[in-house]
Amino acid sequence: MFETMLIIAEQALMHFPLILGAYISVSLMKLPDLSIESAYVFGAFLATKMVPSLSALPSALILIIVSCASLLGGACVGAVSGLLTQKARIPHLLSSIITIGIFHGITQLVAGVYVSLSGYTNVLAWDIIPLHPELPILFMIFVACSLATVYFFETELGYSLAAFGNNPSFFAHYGISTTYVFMLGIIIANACAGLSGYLYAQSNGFADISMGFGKLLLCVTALILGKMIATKSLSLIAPTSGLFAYFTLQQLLLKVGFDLRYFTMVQALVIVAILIAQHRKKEDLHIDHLGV
Amino acid sequence: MKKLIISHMSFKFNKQKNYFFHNANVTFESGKIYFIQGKNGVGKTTFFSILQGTIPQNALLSGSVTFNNKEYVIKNNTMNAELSCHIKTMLQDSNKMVINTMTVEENVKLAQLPLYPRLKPLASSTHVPTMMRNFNIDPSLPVKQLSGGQKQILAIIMTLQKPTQVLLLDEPTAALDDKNSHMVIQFLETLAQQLDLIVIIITHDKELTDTYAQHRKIVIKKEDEEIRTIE
Repeated sequence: MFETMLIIAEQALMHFPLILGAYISVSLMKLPDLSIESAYVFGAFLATKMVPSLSALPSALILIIVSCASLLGGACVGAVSGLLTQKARIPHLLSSIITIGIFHGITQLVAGVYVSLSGYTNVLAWDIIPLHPELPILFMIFVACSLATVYFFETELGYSLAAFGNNPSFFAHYGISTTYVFMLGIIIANACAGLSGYLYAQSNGFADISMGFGKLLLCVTALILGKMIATKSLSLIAPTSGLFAYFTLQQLLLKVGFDLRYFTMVQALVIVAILIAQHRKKEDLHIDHLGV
Repeated sequence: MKKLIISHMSFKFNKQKNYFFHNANVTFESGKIYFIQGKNGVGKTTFFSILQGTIPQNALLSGSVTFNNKEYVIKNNTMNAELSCHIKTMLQDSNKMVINTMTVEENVKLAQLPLYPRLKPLASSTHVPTMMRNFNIDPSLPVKQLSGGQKQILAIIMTLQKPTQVLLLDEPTAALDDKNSHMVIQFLETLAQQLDLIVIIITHDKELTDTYAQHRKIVIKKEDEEIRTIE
């Protein structure tokens, strides 16, 4: 039981930056931000590709540098999809799809389809918890991200992102730059996804071109589960609790012998069941056109 | 007292034969509210667009505008940007100007944000005009709980968070019932006097203009296939 809880914690903490990113772009800004999957992959590849050249440095320094690289990689993806939406006037769903196409090519061009980290020090490992050496550093990253996010949500920019989701045309009327708010929001969201991609790749020992598949579905499932648990907006409780609920469900299914190859189907069914139940109960969970 | 003087203003689209306004002369004074009436298509909203500096393309515009004793001559179909920045236009639908999920106070704070919102905490307290309480608007209430008229008042207050000397309202009472319409106009009257503002309102509501237009009613109407502005 305790071992299962540690696995749930490890999985959830690894995906925490990703869910933060999805919370910002999908829940707060109400954008169909598919490019988050691309940011997850590109961030992971950019960071893992740097690891061999940094191997002479102390682990802590490597962790800081590659984390920054993964944030930068994700931010690049966000910047491209944001610019396509804001400057080329392409609807964001379409710009996200285009961005996925662009970065699928760029990632393979820069780093190939697979980068292995075997033979290099696992900079996330700190052997104080047996069998789960990455948990302490993942927890530290979780605390740092949480503190930064709590502060961010109280800032002018944090409030602006929430305002954007409710009324995108609000800013133009009050002399506030919509493009600036949109671009920063989408860049921050995708940068978070990039960091998560690196954590996943480092933990598994490799980065793979298909590792982003289904990540947005994971986010949407977790965000909807979180919405059921905590409804307060501008709060970290909803995405965090949703993420833990998601991996708890996954581990429970694994315990009863469920083949996780079919887990995406379960996620989809969970979403459908929740949405239908809410509709039948006529409960106001503020579920909008994106369901989160 | 501030004055906005429109002198010899003429406006028409290039392809059209007739002018929307031809040689129009109007003076607006601060501390008062003005109503503009006229049939659909006579150019009421176009008049607001001209003042705001968003002049339609393929148009011919001439004349001058004097504000605070400074004359701005309209050149190359362009209204002077210095003048336009004193003028703010309210949207017809106040829902498009507020964040329904946030409180009244948060909305006022958001309206104060600079061009580029910063990574510094949103102001912890802000001056919410006391006159809002006269209209039963509690700053801690979520905006979605306000009535249509209260939302309109909030949107006006939010617009005034940035320097404004002329307030243009295009049918602000169109979606409101009688009670809310009167509430909004009374609020605008108080506001014009207290803040020494020029308030110009486009409306089709004759009853409203008859009740409140004590000073001057400006009617834009079609006459002899030519649009003229009459004081």
